[in-house]
Amino acid sequence: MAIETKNLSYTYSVGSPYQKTALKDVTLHIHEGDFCCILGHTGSGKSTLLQHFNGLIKRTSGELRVLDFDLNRRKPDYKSLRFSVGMVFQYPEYQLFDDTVSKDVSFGPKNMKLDEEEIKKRVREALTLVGLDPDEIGEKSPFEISGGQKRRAAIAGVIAIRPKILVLDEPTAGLDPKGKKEIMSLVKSLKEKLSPTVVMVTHDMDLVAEYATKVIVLKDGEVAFDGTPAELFNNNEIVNDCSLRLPSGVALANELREVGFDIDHNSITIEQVVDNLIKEIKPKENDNA
Amino acid sequence: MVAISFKNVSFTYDSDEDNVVLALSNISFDIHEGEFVTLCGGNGSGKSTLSKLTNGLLLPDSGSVEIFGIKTTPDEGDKKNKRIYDIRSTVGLIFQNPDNQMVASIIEDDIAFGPENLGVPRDEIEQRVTWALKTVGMEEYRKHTPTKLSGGQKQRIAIAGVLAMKPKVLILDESTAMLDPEGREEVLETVKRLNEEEGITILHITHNMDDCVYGDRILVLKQGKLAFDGTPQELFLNADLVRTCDLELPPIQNAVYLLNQNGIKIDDYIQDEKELARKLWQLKQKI
Repeated sequence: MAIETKNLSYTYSVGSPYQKTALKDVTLHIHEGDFCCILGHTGSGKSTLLQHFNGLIKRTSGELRVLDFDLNRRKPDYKSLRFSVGMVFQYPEYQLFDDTVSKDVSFGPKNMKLDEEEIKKRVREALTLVGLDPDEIGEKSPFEISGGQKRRAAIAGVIAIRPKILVLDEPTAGLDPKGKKEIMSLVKSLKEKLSPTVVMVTHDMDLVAEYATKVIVLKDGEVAFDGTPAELFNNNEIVNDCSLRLPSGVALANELREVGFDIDHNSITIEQVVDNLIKEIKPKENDNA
Repeated sequence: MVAISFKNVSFTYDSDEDNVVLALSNISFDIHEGEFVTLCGGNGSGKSTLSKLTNGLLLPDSGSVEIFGIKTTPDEGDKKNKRIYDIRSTVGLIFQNPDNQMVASIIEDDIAFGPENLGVPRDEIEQRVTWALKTVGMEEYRKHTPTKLSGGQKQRIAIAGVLAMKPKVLILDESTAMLDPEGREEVLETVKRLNEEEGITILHITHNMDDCVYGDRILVLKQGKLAFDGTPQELFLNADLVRTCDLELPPIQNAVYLLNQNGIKIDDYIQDEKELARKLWQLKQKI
């Protein structure tokens, strides 16, 4: 189990006029190897939940376990937890601060008190994994590189600690379609090579359809849905209730079923639906030929 | 009347000599009053440079930019452009992050900031604030603070702030990029209404191809050059061009493209899922 919560609740500014309950009895399980997307509107509690995963917000009510860390204990080892859960915030490139990319990436490993050789190794590894040349880009100032490279450099800084869980808050925000594809294939390759569990917040339902193995929907601080993307997007009640958008593949599949096509409910991306259609339309054409 | 006219415009950022970047190269186009034009292109294609040239924040190295017939560059012999403020009050610019454009802690003060700086009389400021808030559908928030609004609401306030200066042209420089889908729709519907009802000329800069359906004409920039100027329909039928410009087809057009690749021929422009489903069903009946 990578992340496990039971009746996790959190209230901001307790006892003040601004008191606000952000999470209410959240119970969820994220397994090792999951690509879990967390959905929900602004103010639904997504960020509060995410920040619990590496102890940026300390658990106050309910139970929380992350990897081997039991955060219900009186004094949990937050420091080691933070070296195991990598957090990529929104627009992470705004957090680059050092005068060279390599130095910036070494910040995490340095804080882990690793020896110099190991730090160098980690920096090279991280930069190579995100597709930046350590010798060329590593020596540049973060201000000299392009926007897409900056975001990669920032992600390198997070994975240099070799996290077992990678948490990303809207990693594709503000990128053009090409940049979006590049970052998502990077996340996918990091999941294969380094961090087997990925938790990602996104508003882009097409990304959910393409990448997620598990989806959790938050609504007003509570879990409104927990299951696979196909289950979610074929459940009209939940989709309407949480006013979610449909991935373009599902929207198309629904219209196709309406006119009489038989489309598999597991087809949720445009590519999958098109494959389905080809099977529906094409075989007869081949017979005629 | 021509609202925005670019004639053979080139622009270079020459921060240091070895590293000269040609941001725009020989760009020409006219945008007429009342048009709703979408400007697309990947990161670094020159979109923002173009928007800054349009209100004189940047001046072209060669060629000319004219706004309702007024050049952004100074007349010969002059050091400064005497009419730059005419241009700036004609062209309103909305940026990506609404938080960077909020100046006051109460919304009505924020909206009044622009006209106050233009020296508009007090009574008229009052009227303009009321009108601007009503136009973006935010009149009930007049006495609120901007901090508690959603992204879409903040961006509508930013638009109202610019509207209060009564611009004839509104440029949205990736103003929807940071918003969630609801916020994006909210802002674009507002802009569309401004275009239709107030006749304001719109230049919307984006790399989100779903946004293109709001306009009637698309300009595409590719590495500083104008790669396309036409209707969304024409652009979407040219899948290869879209791809080489670091953009992607909207999902429905992508489905049509993939079907065509697999020998299921659909030649017409398809507007939405419903139309595609109907077309495909007809096709299946024929086989």
